[in-house]
Amino acid sequence: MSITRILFIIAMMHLTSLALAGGTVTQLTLTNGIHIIHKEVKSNPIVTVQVFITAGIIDEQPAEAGVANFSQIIMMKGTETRSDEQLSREIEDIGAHLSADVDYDFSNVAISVTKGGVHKAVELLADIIRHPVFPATEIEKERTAVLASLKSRHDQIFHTANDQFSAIFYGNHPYSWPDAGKPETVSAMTRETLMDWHRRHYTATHIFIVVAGDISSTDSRTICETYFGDIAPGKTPKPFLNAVPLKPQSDIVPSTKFQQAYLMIGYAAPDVRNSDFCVMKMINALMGSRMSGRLFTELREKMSLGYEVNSFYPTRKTLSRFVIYLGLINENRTRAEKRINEMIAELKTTPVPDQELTDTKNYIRGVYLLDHQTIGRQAWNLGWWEVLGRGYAYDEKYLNDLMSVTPEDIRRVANRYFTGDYFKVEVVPAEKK
Amino acid sequence: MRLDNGLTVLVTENKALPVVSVQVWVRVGSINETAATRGLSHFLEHLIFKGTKRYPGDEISRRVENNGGMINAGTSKEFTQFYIDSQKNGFEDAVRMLADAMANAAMPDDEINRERPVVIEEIKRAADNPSSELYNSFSSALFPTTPYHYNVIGSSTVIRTVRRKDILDYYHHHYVPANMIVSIGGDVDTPAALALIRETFGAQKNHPAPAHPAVIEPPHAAVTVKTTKQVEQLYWLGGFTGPDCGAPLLYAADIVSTILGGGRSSRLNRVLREDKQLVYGIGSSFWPQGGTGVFSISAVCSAENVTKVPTEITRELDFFLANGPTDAELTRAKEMTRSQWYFDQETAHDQAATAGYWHLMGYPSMPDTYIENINKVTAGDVTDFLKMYYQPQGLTSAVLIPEKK
Repeated sequence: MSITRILFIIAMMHLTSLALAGGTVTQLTLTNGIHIIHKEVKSNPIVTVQVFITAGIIDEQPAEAGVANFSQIIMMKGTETRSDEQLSREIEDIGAHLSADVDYDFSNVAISVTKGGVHKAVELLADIIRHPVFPATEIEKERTAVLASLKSRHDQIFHTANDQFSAIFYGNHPYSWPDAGKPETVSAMTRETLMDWHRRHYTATHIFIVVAGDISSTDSRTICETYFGDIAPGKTPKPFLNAVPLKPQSDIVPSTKFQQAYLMIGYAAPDVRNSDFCVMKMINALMGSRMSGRLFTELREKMSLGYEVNSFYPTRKTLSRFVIYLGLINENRTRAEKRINEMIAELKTTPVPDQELTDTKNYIRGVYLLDHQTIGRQAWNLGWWEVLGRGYAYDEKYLNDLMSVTPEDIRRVANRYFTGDYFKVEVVPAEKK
Repeated sequence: MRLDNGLTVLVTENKALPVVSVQVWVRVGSINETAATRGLSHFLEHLIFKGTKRYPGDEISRRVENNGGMINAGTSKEFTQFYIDSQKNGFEDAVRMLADAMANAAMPDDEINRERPVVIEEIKRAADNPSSELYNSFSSALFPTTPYHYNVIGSSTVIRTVRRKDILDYYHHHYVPANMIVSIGGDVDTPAALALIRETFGAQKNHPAPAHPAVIEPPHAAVTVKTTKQVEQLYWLGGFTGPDCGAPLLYAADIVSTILGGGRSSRLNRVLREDKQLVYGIGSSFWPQGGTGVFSISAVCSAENVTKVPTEITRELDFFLANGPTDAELTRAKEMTRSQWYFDQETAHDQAATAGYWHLMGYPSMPDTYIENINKVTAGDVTDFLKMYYQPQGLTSAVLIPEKK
């Protein structure tokens, strides 16, 4: 057994006890079948309650792109018994923070509060989820704001590049459009469409709840049963639309807005259930995500080609992508692309040195711990693995899986995915007319 | 705790998870710069991690990440903060490396020259970003006389041409123990941590801390700076000068900011966004500084509302000044502030940063007394704050107006 392997096992033993020290996770079930994932953490007198909805952008039809987001915004704007203003006041009276997010693969509505306010907070959260009234005036008001946000996205060079990249990479699949949808679909969206989305997806069949913080499992169950225990079940969810790899292509986006240029290069990558998932996550950590990663070291530190240098590999239910991007001066584009290609080729041919892999794993473990410091993040991570179909307990096992990645795994996966042409988008400064 | 060489050390133990945060706060930022050194505090922040004799090249960032940590730094107008957040077992390494970097950064010519285009690129990125451009214009207009006038990112010309000798002089002048605070948070044992700090930072020579510029901005007439830019929406940022960190009305400033624009139930959000539908988003904040503070309101709207939005904001402020807060608003704002305080203190990093920041500002007891003082704010304090700092109809502002296509 190599030294690295022994060190890894010791580190893992340590980690298991850590997770336990951070609070035991239990799963409870309400009378209507809704699952509650509970974690008691007493370090601060605060509680978070996060409702996960298994429907996300992936479940939208092209003609209703943006409905998940738009519908969620309007849900916050008044219920059968509370106006928008009353809701805002009652939430803020107890100092609670309400947040709502729509992701490509799921949706989430959460409330965080000091422990004394938890009953009231869950009552308000349940009211928003169960009894929204979708006022027509609010829909028109928010439509303007959503359309404005879609427009101002392109004041940011990253979004300009990434939106185009998503479009050529995913074609008509829902992953191709921004989370807020498209101007034409948002403009045409009716109140009935928004209500229908809510009716179909905010049911006992589609939701589960994560409760974390200074609250016992008994109290969590009682409170959730009171406010969520009689939600009716919905129809069995339809299977999501699988994304299929398209033919790689390149695109140049001339822009008079930006002084810098931007280069984005990417390949198709495995989904969250794929056995190559953790290996690709390791490749992403090895290449980007940090200053001692290969991309930053090479493209910024050694070659000074650009300031912003990174890679990303989103965790997705279906086809994902591994993307390298950098902000750079226009003249450096060709040099940067050539060097990136050489670095990809190296992944395919040369085994990653043991020490580099150990270091990368250590980095991942540290980031994981740092990311689990707040109850909000602890709850979110449990819900995230659950909603992606890996189960909440995978929050711990994920690290084990990452730690067992070998240099050979990396070479194999690089050869499997980084083949042939790649997708490329370049934003280049153009002269104003 | 203060060491013999003038260094201040703070330890906030938190054993919830085996993580630590080691932070160094240096009292140097853009307010300490001159025309010849504009942007040097920020450039130096980049160069400090470019190696020492003991940790050459990128050894520091490499070791931090290999220990399972993150290293970063940030420069503001009044300070530069360096930090390493890490698994517990990276603690000793983190302290040794930060101590060495603060005293012995090598900054060889080739590293400096390699970093120049990187920082120039960052200056360009800032110019491409509507929010940072807006903030810089606003800040310059709000502070015509004090060094808060200048932005942190600085001048491309200085970055292109500044000599190594001048960089080193600036470094040796400002990076002295008496001008620094080391703040540690997380899973450490205080006696052992202090012993390590004494051995490392404590061994550095004592030099007098440099003098700091006067940063109290005298009252002045409101100014509006309009810039046309290729943006999709109109971006507006306005406000007025507020109390410094030590002023009694500091707490009232936070309450005013919450009532006015601190949440969905806030006045500006209700009136300008929900009722009159003039803006897509609006909020306010109070930013305390060592000297004159900044009370600001930001809004994003469509170009056609360029005059209506500031008129309505002013109307709300005038009304607030004349009538004060309601009891419900005051109670709600206090509850929101208290709750936010707990959520802002969850991580080892946040705890160390709160302690470090308030020490640097000269009010070390702030983390212990803040909530108590928030609880004491009365409706009279709120009105007094507005009377003292807000001139009716007088908001200094910066506007980014979309270019006509």
